[in-house]
Amino acid sequence: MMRLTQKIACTVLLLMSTVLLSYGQQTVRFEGTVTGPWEGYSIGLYNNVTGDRDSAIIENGKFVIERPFTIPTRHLFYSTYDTKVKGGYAPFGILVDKPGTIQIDLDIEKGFSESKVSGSAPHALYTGLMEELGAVRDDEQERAVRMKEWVEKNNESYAVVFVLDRFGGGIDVDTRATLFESLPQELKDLSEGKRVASKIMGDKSAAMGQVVKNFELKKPDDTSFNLESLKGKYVFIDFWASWCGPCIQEFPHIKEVYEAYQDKGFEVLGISTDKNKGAWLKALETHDMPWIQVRDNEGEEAIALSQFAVTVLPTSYLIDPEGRIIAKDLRGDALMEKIKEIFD
Amino acid sequence: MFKKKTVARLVGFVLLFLIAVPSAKAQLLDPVKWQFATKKISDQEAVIFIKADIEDGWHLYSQHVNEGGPLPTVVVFTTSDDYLLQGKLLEPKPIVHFEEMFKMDVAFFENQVVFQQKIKLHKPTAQIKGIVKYMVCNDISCLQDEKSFAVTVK
Repeated sequence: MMRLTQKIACTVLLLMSTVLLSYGQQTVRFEGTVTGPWEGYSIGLYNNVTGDRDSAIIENGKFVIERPFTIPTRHLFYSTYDTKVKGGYAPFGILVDKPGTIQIDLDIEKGFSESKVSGSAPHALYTGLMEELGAVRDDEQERAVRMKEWVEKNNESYAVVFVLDRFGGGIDVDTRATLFESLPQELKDLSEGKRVASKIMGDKSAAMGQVVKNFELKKPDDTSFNLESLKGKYVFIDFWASWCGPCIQEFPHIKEVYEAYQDKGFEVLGISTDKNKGAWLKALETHDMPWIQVRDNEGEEAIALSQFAVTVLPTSYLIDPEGRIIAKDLRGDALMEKIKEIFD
Repeated sequence: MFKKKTVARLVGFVLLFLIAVPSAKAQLLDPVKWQFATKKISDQEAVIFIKADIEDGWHLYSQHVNEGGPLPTVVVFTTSDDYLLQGKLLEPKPIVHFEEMFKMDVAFFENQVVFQQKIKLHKPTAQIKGIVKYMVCNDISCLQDEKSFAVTVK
């Protein structure tokens, strides 16, 4: 009888401690060992995505910072040694994807960038990739290849969606889409994942061969312009802004082609991304651009982002009479050559 | 104007940035890397450093560019009871060129620039937040972007 009670008591205790333990593991605990002149300094943690903010004084060459685990994220670290002795800090990121304990070995003089971090799988993967990419720094294509292979190998890891979000633009859109598709849903649902997905959408809808969807924008006199109205013509769509010197340099080239072919089924549509309407109107007066002019919407409504993958100015597209994208970024004489090829 | 010690600290600050961040130049076009730091200069005063590392060939524009040309760099600090801005955001002497396209003088920075904002602290510890709005151009293209920051003065 006594035995049984003891057994039950033991089981209950065991169950309770398991429950307590699993509660205890809902945090991320950073345990640091610090060498060098650490006396009087502390370690700070912050995260502008989750709002986490914490710090700990270094005592006996050690520090502990414990944060609730909420989502896979990157926490940023610095030491007050950096701010006080070196006069400033560059935050050091540690990727975290589950509750647990992460060890940091820090030489306070050398700083976090030289520290050793263990206990975080995504951090180890990320660091490995950065070293690999660093070795082929100047070879954009090789970097994209290595990144792709790395993503394929590790597609269950938070590090992958973090990297695709930050650096994935170097990988061509179809490959990027396939890679993204292979990720587990919970990674796709993170804010990093959503950004990757929307960039893929923009890049795809502006890919060669895609038909540009109709859109409506305002002309300088505030009347509406519809892309549909140009159906049946070859249209050169030029994204520019009043403040963009390289855009202005293209205008004479565009004008030359426009004057030669506008009565043969060629049209030019200038889409300004100027936020300042006055600056746009003034630039239209200053520069001689006798073709159709409209101004893009702002923010998420911008055609430049939702229907075209405009990241730099100028960016241009040539669409055929059915609205299909047949060329991109024809600069200088390249536009004239292409149009000659089509009409002559 | 700068005391020797301040200069030495500034040099240290710049050196720190040179060594501190592993390069990750994988993004297609991200020609400016921003970094933010703070330095307490007395119990009640601190300086916020806003540093841009600009890739070769790209120009980041000064805060002082006339209308009708490239857009100036603008830093907006979030107002807070914890601190007060003292004076304007300082920038080093920019490179000034007459640009034919705009028919005007244009002031810009190359390689690297550190903007500095002095603040008066109302508390021993303060968090300073803000956003940098900027554009950069090289010979063939321009892009416009912004970068938020949050730094702590202790």
